[in-house]
Amino acid sequence: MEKFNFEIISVGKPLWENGYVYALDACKILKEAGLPFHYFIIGDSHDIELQYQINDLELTDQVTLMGQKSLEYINDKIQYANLYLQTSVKNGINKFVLTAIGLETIVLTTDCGGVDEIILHGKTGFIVPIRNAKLIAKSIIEIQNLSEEIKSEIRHEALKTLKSQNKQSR
Amino acid sequence: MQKKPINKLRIGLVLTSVPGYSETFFRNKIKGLQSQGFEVILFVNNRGVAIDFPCKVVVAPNFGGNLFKTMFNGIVTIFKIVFLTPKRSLRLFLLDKADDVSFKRRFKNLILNQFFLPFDLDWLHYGFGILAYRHENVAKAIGAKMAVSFRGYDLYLSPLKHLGCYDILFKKEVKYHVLSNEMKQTLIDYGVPKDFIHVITPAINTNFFKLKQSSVFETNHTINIVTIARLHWKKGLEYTLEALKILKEKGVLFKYTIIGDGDQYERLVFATHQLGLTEYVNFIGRLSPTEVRQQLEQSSIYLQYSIQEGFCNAVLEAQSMGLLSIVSNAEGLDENVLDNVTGWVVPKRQPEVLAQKIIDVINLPSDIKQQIGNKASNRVREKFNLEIQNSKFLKFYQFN
Repeated sequence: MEKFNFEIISVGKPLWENGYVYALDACKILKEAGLPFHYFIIGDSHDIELQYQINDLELTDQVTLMGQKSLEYINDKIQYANLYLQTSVKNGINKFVLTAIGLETIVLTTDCGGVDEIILHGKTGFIVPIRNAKLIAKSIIEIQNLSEEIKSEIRHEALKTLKSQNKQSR
Repeated sequence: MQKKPINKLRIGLVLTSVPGYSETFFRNKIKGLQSQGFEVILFVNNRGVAIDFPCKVVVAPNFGGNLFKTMFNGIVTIFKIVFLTPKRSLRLFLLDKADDVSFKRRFKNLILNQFFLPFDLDWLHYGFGILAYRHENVAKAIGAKMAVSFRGYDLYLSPLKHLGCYDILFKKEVKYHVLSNEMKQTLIDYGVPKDFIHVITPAINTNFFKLKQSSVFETNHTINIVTIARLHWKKGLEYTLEALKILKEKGVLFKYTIIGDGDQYERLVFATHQLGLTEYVNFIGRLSPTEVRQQLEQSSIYLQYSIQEGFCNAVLEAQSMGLLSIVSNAEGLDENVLDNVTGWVVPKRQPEVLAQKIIDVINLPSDIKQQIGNKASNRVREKFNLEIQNSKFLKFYQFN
């Protein structure tokens, strides 16, 4: 297990559609599993539902809610993170998923419609069913345990897929 | 000055607005106190929809309307501060100063609280903790004792929204009313002396929600499951629906009814659809007490899988009628339902555990179900009736 914190990031307002409730339930499982991680949600630091859940699950040391930030800051944060997490229950691909791929950060997303156009499970990123905190946590642990070589291959494949899709859409 | 009658306790109750017809807790409480010879004055920020109310109602001046009205109300209030209640106003100003409240805030507090100052009261009782925020010295300024009720949301959620909102309050000599021992412990954890805290659980009209006669526990029929809840995230309805999806997958025949409305309707209807439960779940909105009773009459299992819950009257109503109640372990719920005695308590945020518990309960022998339903009903009738609640409030005000 890596000694440094495994950094996970999500960007987007804490609307129910974004399914952060499941991300936080997954964080509880990660904490119990002993994974050293930190999860950042950039969007709104004053959402009472998420604030209560973080307190209730005793995740105040592992999770940070952040208010709106500049695009430059968000890009830096995504680039530095080990994993971009999308836990949406409704909407399809968030634009920051594409940003993450572009910045060579591995993506784990729920199967919320249209994600398979860009994410091939295990090849260019990872897909889990919606509303399933246990599988989100399990996937994060698996991703964290991947060898650097495989991680690098996934980042590379994801970037290649994104570039080829961008070319096709031109 | 509004002098109080000799030998008659006068209580000022502070609420946001006048309780509507369906908000039975405060209406029952006020009636109960009046029947014991107390005089009750209700202080509210806005009158709300209720027109008649069985006690004197004092409405705070409106400082949030148009500029002209705000200025007019401001000038009138300053006039009252100087000429009508100068001593009490000065006392409030100095008490706030002693709490290191800024000059600007002290001046605002004076304006906002002036409407309390002419009244002679024995008690000034804030109906919700958050209503006492920035009003911590009003009771002392008018020479009254101060009481504060906490109900769940204001104890567990308001401090997240307004950081440090109870820092001043918890240093004061205040008599607290909470709904459960869990809430009492939370206040103790905040540093409030335990002698200041009094647990008075909610109560219901047990003559209205009587033990139902018909048995609806047969397992070979569709099981009617019901929840009464505002459609709010804290009620854990999304987790409940996930548990019901598991029930469906296991072939259990059921119908789930949610009584209540709220701002999470779209979220919950979407979840219902996405989880493939459209045929199984009914959102029937808010109902009158009589309609609620009809729904409980037709149901056998009551679910309250809340994330945050002070105590919950609806679970008392369901138990009183003998329903098999399965609740989460959120705050006061495990005092409301005794696990394996009057119902079942399962850990919150774990839909798989809830689903398994529902299945276990459905599969219990009929006589055990009947026993648990009867025990639940008896316990509510004995411990959570309005007479007991009224006598506890009487003691709350009469004894220090």
